[in-house]
Amino acid sequence: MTMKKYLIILALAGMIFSSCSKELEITPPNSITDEQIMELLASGDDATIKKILGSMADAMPGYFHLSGILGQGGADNRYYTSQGLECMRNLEGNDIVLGTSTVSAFGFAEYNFNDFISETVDKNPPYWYYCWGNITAVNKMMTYLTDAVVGENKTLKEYKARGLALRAYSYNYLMENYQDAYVLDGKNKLGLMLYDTYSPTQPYKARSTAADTYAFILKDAQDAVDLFTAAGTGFTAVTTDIDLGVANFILARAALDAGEYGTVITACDAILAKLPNLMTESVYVGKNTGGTTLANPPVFLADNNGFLNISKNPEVIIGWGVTESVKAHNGWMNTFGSGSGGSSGLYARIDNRLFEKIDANDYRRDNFLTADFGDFYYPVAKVTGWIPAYSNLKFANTHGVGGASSATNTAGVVGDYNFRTSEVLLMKAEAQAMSTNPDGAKATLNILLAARTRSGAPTLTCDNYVSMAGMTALQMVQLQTRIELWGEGGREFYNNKRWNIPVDRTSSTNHVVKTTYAVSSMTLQIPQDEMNNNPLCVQN
Amino acid sequence: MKKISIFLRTTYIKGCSTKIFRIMKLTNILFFVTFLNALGNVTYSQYARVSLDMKDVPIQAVLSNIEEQSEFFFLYSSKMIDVAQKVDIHAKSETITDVLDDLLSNTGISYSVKDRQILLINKDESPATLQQRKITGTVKDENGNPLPGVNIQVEGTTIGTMSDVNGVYTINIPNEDASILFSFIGYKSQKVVASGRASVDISLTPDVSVLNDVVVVAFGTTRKKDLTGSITSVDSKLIAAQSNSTLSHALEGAVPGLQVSSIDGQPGLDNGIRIRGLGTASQNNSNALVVIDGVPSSQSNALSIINPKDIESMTVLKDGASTALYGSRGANGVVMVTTKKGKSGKAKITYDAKVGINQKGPFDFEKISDPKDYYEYAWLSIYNAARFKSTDKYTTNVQNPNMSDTDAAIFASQHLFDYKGSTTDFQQNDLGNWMLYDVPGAIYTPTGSGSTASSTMTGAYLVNPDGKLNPNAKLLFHDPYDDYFLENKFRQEHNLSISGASEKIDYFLSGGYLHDPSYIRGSQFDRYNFRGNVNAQVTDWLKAGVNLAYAYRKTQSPATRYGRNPGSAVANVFYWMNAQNQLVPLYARDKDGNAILDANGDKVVHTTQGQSYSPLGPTSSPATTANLMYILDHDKDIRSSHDLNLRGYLEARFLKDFTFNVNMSTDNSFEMRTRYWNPVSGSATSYSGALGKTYTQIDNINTQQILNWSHDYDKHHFDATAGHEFNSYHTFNMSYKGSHSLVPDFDTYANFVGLNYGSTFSGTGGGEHKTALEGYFARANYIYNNKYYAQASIRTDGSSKFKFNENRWGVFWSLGGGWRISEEDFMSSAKSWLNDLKLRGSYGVIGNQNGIGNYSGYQTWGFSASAYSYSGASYYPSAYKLGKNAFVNDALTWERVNTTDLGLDFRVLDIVFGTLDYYNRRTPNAVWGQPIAYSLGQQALDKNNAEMRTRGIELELGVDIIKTQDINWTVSVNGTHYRTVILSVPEGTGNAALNGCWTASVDAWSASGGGSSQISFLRGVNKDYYNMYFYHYAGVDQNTGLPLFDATVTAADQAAGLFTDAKVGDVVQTTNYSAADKYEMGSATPDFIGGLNTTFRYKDFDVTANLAFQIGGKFLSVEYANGLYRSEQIGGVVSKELQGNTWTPENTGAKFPMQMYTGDQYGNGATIGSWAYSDMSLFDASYLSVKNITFGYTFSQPWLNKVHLSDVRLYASFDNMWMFTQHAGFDPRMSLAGGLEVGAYSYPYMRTQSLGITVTF
Repeated sequence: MTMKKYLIILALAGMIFSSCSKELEITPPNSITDEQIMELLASGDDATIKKILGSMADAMPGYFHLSGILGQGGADNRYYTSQGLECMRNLEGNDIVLGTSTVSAFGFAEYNFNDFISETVDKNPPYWYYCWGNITAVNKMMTYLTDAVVGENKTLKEYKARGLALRAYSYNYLMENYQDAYVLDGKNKLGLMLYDTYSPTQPYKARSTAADTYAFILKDAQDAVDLFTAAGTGFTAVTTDIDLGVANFILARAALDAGEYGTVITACDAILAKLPNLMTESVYVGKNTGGTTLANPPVFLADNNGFLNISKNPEVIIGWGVTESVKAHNGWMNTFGSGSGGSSGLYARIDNRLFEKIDANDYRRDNFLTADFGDFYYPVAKVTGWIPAYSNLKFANTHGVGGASSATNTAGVVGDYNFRTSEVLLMKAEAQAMSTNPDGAKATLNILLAARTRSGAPTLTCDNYVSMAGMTALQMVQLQTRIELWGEGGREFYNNKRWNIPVDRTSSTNHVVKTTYAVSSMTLQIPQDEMNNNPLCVQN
Repeated sequence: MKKISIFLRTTYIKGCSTKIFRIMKLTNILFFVTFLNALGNVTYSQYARVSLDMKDVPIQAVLSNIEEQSEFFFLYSSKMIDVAQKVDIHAKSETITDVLDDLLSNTGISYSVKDRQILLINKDESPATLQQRKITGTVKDENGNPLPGVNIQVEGTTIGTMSDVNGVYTINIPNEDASILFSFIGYKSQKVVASGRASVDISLTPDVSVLNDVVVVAFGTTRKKDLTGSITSVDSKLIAAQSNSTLSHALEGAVPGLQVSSIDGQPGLDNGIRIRGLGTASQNNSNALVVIDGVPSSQSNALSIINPKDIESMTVLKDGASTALYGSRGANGVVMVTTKKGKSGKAKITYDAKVGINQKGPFDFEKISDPKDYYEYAWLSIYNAARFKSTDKYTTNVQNPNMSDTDAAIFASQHLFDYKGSTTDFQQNDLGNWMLYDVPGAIYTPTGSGSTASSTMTGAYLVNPDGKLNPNAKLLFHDPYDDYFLENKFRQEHNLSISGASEKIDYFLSGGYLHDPSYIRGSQFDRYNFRGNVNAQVTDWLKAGVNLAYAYRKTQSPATRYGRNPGSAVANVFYWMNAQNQLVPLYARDKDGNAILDANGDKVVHTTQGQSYSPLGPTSSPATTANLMYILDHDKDIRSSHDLNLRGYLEARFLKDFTFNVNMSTDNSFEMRTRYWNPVSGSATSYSGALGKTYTQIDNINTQQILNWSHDYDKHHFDATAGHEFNSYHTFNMSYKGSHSLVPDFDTYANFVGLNYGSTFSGTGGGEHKTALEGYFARANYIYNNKYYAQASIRTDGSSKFKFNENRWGVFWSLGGGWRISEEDFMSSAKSWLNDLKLRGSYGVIGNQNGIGNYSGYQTWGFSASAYSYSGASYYPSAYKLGKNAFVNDALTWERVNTTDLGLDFRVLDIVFGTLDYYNRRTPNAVWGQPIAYSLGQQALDKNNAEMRTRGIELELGVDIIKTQDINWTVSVNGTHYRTVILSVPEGTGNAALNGCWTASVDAWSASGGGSSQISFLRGVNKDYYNMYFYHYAGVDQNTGLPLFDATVTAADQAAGLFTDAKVGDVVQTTNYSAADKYEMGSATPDFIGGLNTTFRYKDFDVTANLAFQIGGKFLSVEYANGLYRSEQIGGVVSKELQGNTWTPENTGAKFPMQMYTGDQYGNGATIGSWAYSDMSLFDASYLSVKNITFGYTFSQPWLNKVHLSDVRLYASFDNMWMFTQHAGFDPRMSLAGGLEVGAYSYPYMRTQSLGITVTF
C-alpha cells in the first residue's frame, strides 16, 4: 500500500514541475496576422500578392479627396474633408468675397484672417493631420513593397508608384503650408521630418532642410513617373486612378514650388501630349435654363457643367463621378445649394477687381452674376435668400448630376476632381516665364485663351486681352491663373505665397472685409501636437 | 458493494492535449477508486497497523509516536489523565486496540476508538464505577451535530471528563446542585446547574470572536489570528438574508475598501467590483478577481450566476501579502467565494421559500406633473417671455419691459397654447394643444395652420391673468404614463438543500429557483441553480471530491435593450415617463375626455398627432410615435444562458506533514440572445418585423497542483505551499439577423425571409478568442509561539497575451509579518481586558494583465468586402478590402502594483473587536496612452509609463453590546477613506492652456455598464483622479433675471471687448455663457464609504439590519442638468423645485433664473450647450441606504421535536427599502466616477419585500 501511495503521489507531484508553456503560444484565432501576410507575399503567387497589396494600393486615390480628417467631426464642414481645407484657403486671398456682411459662421474667421497659423489654433492642425495621415498610409504599404518583393513585377511597380505619388503630393502640400515658398525665403529654411517607413515606435526625426525635403519629394514623384512608365501604366482613360498623368502633375507642381522649371515643363508636356483637350464654353459656364423669380425659379443643371459633371470635362486628370465623389466643395461654392455657399448666405463671390479684369470676349466672365439675382427659394433648407451680384455660377446647380429638372432636392449631387489640364498649361507657362522664355509662356497661355474665347468673338491672345496690356509674361500667367482656377483647390493662396503677392482688399468695392494680409503670415507654425511630442522638431 | 461508474467529460485542448488528457484520465481512475472505497465502509482502526519499541517512556511519548506513524489522534484532558506515567511497550504491526490494551493495562486509563479518534478517560469514571449521583447527556454543536472531546468539569472540584465521539458524557457530581462547566475550543463555555436532573443535554454555540476561525486565503486556509495580510470575511448569513439576484449587491457596505456599482437596476446583471480604488488608469482594467472554490472565474458576471444560498463564506483579499499568489491577476483584489459542504452528523434537508413583491425603489424626483401646476408653470414662462424677452443675447428687457404687467398677464392667458416666441405670429407651442380641462365660456380662435395649428383663448381662460388655474375649469382626464409601466411584480425564490456527512463522505446538494422580474412592464429574470458538492475519504491518505454547479438564467430587460445605459432608447419606459410632455395621456381621448375605443372595445393608445381631441388644434404625439404598451408586450430581448462549472480534486496526505492537491475545473457558458421586434409598432415596422440572434460560448479549463507542508517544532510553526496552475480560455460567438415576417409574434427563423437585414444585431458573422495563463507559485509561513509571524510569497506567471517569450513571464512577490503584542509577557497585566492585539504589515508587488490585449504584439489585418453582389440566396463580394489594423506595441508589459499595508487587529473585553488598515497602492508603470506626434502615424501609443497611487485607510469595528442567554445585540460598522491620484504621466499629456492638466471623460466599465465620452474631469499630476470639472453657476443676475456664470478673464476676452474693467486672471460673473469657464469642483470620490450591520436577538426573535452609506463625493445628474432644471421647457419635464423658486422682479431671492419659454435656450443656468453642464446639478453624493432588514422567528426545540423537524424559521425581509440622499432624483450608487455615465432617464434599483420560511428536516 505504501509503495502504491508514494507512486501515485510522485506521479501527481511530477505535474507541479511540468509545464504547459507551449500552450502560451497563441496566435490571434480570428485575425489575419502580419506573419501570414508575409508568408503569402513570399509565396510569389502573383494573384495572391495582388489581392493583398492591391487592396492597399487601390485605397491610395481616395486620399486625394479624403473625408474624416483626424480630430474633426463631420459637423465641421471646414476641416473634415480635404475639400474643406481647400475651401478655407480659397477664403484667405484676394479673389473670393464671402457673403455680403460680417457674420458669425463657419468660414468667416478664415475670410476675416483670424489667426490660422499659430501653433495652437484649431485651424492649423487639420492640414497637418491630413497630410501625415496620407504619408502613414503610403508608408504602411511601402513596408511590403521592398525592392526584393517588387522585382520586375509590373503590378507591384504600379502599386509602388501610386504610393510614391501620394507621398510626394502630401509632403508638397505640407511644404506649401508649413514653410515659406522655396523660391523665396524658404530655400534656406527647414523642411520636414522625412519618414519613409511606418512605425509609431521608430525614433523621432528632426526637420530636414527645405532643400532635402524637396529632393525627397521630387525623387518620390520622379520615381512614381518612372515606375508607372516601367509598369506600362500610361495615361489611363479612367479618372479615378493614379496614373502617369497624376504622377506627372504632382511632379510638375512640386517642381514649380521648388523652382525646378525644366522638370515642370517636361512633366507638363508629357501630360499635354496625352490630354490636349480643354473644356469648351458649353460646359464651362453655368447656365440658367429656368426662370428668375420665385414663381418661376431658375434651373441650373449640373449635367451640363464640366466642373460638376466630370464626364463632360475632358481636362480631368483625377476625379470622381457622383457615386464616389466628396461633395463638400460644392456645399461651399454652390450659390443655389442648401449649404454654406447658398442658403446660409455665405455666397462665394468674385472680387470686383478680378472680375473687371476678365476680358469681355472671355466667356469665363459669364460664370459670375453682374447684378443681383434677387430672391431664390432654397427648397431643402426651406428659406428664401437674396443672391447678390458677383456670386458665382461656375459651380451653380439647382439639380445635381442625373437629377431631372423637376426634382428640387438634388442640388450638390456632383462629381469632384483634383487636377485638370488648364492648370498644367498654367504651370508650364509659369515655368517658361520663370526660365526667361516669355514668348514660350505667352504661346502656352494663348492655347488656354483660345479655348476661353467667347463664341463668335475674335480669338483671345496675350496680345489682345485688354487687361493684360503692358504686363510681363509672368504677370499674365498670374492673372490667367487667378481667373482660370478661381475657387478651385485654394490655389490662389498657395500661388500668392509663391508669387509673393500679399492680400490687399482695400480697393475692392465688394469685399466684406477690406483688409490686408502679408505673405510672411501665410506660413503656418508646426502644430502643438508635433512640438509637444517630437523633441527634435524646431518651430518655424 | 454497489458498482458505480463515473465518467468525466474530457475536453480536447490543442497542443496540451496529451498531458491534460493524461491528467484527466488519471483523475477519472482516481475518482472511480475514491468512490468505490468510500462506499466500502472498512474502518481505519481495523486495518491500520502500528509498530512500537519503547522502554521507560511517558505514555505521552507513546501516544505521540502512534500519532506520528498513523492517522490516529488522541483526545484527553491532561488535568485528569496522567500521561506522565512511565511504561514499556513493544508491538510489531499490531492493531491499535491490541497496542492500547497492552499500553494502558496497568495505568488506570481506559479508551474508546472511533475511526481515527481515540478518547482516553480514567477507569474510575467509567460507567462501571459510577455512583448514584451521576449525570449523563449529549453535547452538540450549533447545528445539532455531536461534539466530541468537550471538557466537562464540576465547578470548584477536580472532577471532570470529556464527551466521547458521539458527544455523550457521563460525570459524577458531589451534590444535586452542582454546577457543570462545558468548555471546548472555538465555542463559548457554558455553565449548567444540575438541579437534581439525571440528564443534561446541551448545545454549545460557536464563539464567533475567537481568533481560531478558519479563513479562506489564496490556495488554502489559515486561522484568523495568523493572518499577516488584509482580509475581510463576509458573514454568509448576511448574504443569504438579502433578496438579491447577484451576490455583488450584497457586498455593498459589507467590506471596508470594497465598492460595487451598476448604472441600472436590471435584475440578473452584475455590478462592477472595485477594491481599494483604482490601480491603473482604466476602470475596465481595475476589476477585482473572483475566485470560486479556489478556481479563478472566467465569467465577467460570476456573482450573478451563483446561488447565494450555496455560499459558505466569502473573503476579500486586499493587500499584497494576500493576493500575491494570484500573481498577474491579483493586483485589484480578490473576492473568494467558498460554497457549502456537508457536515458530520444527521443528514439535513432544508427547504427555504421566499415570496414577495418587487416594486419601484426608494428613488424619485419631484417633477411638475399635476396638470394644474403644469399649466400654471407654462403660463408664467409665457408671461416672462412676452414681457421681458430681448432680441439681444445674454440679456433681457427686465429694466425696460416689452409690455405692462397687465398686458403680459392677459397675453399669457390668451396665448397659453399658441405662443411660440412671437407676439404677433401664433402657432402650436410645446404644450401640444393638450387641453385636459373643460373651460366653460372659452372661445378658441384658430391660429397657425396644418400640423402647427392651435388656438388663442378668449372669453374664458384655462389659466387666468392672475396666473392661477381657472376655478371653473373641470378636469376631464389625466392619464400619465407613470401609472401604466411600473408595476408591483411577484417575486419568489425556492431553495432545497440536502447535506450530511458520514465517516467517509460528505455531500451538499442544492436546487434553487428564483423568479425576480423587475418592476418595469416586460422585464423578466428567472434563474435555476443546481449544485452538488461531494467529498470522499478514499483511503486514510487520499481524499477526493467534486463540485458541480449548473445555472440557467433567462433575462429580459426592455429598458436596457441597447446597452445598460438606457437613455432615450425607445423601449426605455423612463424616457417616456420623464422626458415627454406630462399632459400626454397613454390612451387617446375624445371630446368628453373619455378613452377612445377600437372595434373590439379596447382602449386605443395615443401614438400620433391629432389622434386625441382638443378644442385647440391637433394634439401632439408622445415622445416617439409608437405604442410603448404594444412594444413592451410583444418585443423580446432575451438572454438565455446556461452555465456549467465542474471541479474535481484529489488530495493526498503523506509523510505526516505533507498534502498534495490536484484540482481540475471547467467553466462552460452558453448564451443565446434573441431579439424580436414586432411589425406593428416600434423599430421594425418598415421591414415587417425582425429577428436577431447572437450565440456566445465560453470554455475555460483550469488545472492546479498544490503541495503543502506544515510542521510544528516546539514553539515554531512552519508551513509552506508550492503550486502550479494552468488556465486555458476560449470563447466564440456568432450572429444572425432576419426581417420581413409573415406571422406576427412568431419569433422563429422560418418566419423571416429577409436575410441579414434589419437592425437587431450586426448580422452574419462571428468572433473567437483564446488565451492561456500558466503560473508557478510558492508561499512560506513561519510563526513563533503564536506571537511573531512572517510570510513570503512568490509567483511567476506566463501569459499567452504576450507574443514573445522573453517578456511573457512576470514575477510577483510579497512579504508580510505580524506581531501579536497581546501575547507578550509585558502585556500580561492587560490580559484581563485585552483579548488580542496584533500589528501586521506587508509589502507586495502584484501584477495586472487586464490592460494587455489578448494578442499583444501581433500585428493584424482586416479583411472585408467593400460591396456585395447577390445571386439567388447567396451574397458574394464584388469588391474587397484588406487593410492593416492599428499598430501594435509589442513592448507593453504587466502593470506592477506595489502595495504597502499596515494593519492593527484588536479585541477588548471580549466584546469590542476591530481592525484598522492603512494602505498605499502605487503603480509605477501603469498603462497609459502616451501622446506621440502624428507624424509617426498615430496620436498615442500605449506604454507602461504613468504612475498612479491610491492611499487609504480602512476600519472595521464590532461591539457585542449585549451577550446574555436570552438577548444578543451586536453592532458592526466598517468604512474606508481613500484617494487615487496620478503621480506622473508622460511628456506631452498635458495642455498648456490648462496649466499642464488635461480633461477626461468617464472611461468605460463594462462590469457596471458605465462609460461616457463627455468631459467630466480635469486631471493633472498630483490631482485627484476624479477631480470634477464643470461650469460654475453663480446665482441670478438681478438686472436681467438670467443666470450668472464664472469666467476667468483672458487677454483674448479683453481683445474681444469682454471684461475690460477687470484684470486678466480675475474671476468675474457674467450672463454671457459663451465666455464662461469650467472650474474644478472637487472629487467625485466620497470622503468616507462604509456599512453598518446590526443583529438583535431576544429568545427566538431576531432582527437584522444591513445599511450602507457614504459621506461626501459628487454626482452630476444629467437628468437634472439636461432635463429637470431646463426651466425654459413647457412641454417637457421640469423639477418641482422650480415652482415658485424662479426669479421674477418680485421674487429676487429665487434660487433659479427667470423661466422664459422661447427665451435663450441656455438661460436656465444648468446647461449652456451640448453636455456643457454647470454645477447647478452637481449634488453631494452622500447617502444612507437601508439595504436589508430581516425580522425572524425561530421555533423552539420542544415543539419541533413533536413534528419531527430540526429547525423552522419564519422571517420577513425588506430589501432596498429606504434611501436617504442630499437631493432627490439620483442614486449615488450608480456611479463611482461622478455620474455622467449614468445619463438621463436612468433605471433605478428596485425594492423587494418578502416573507420566507426555512424548514430543516
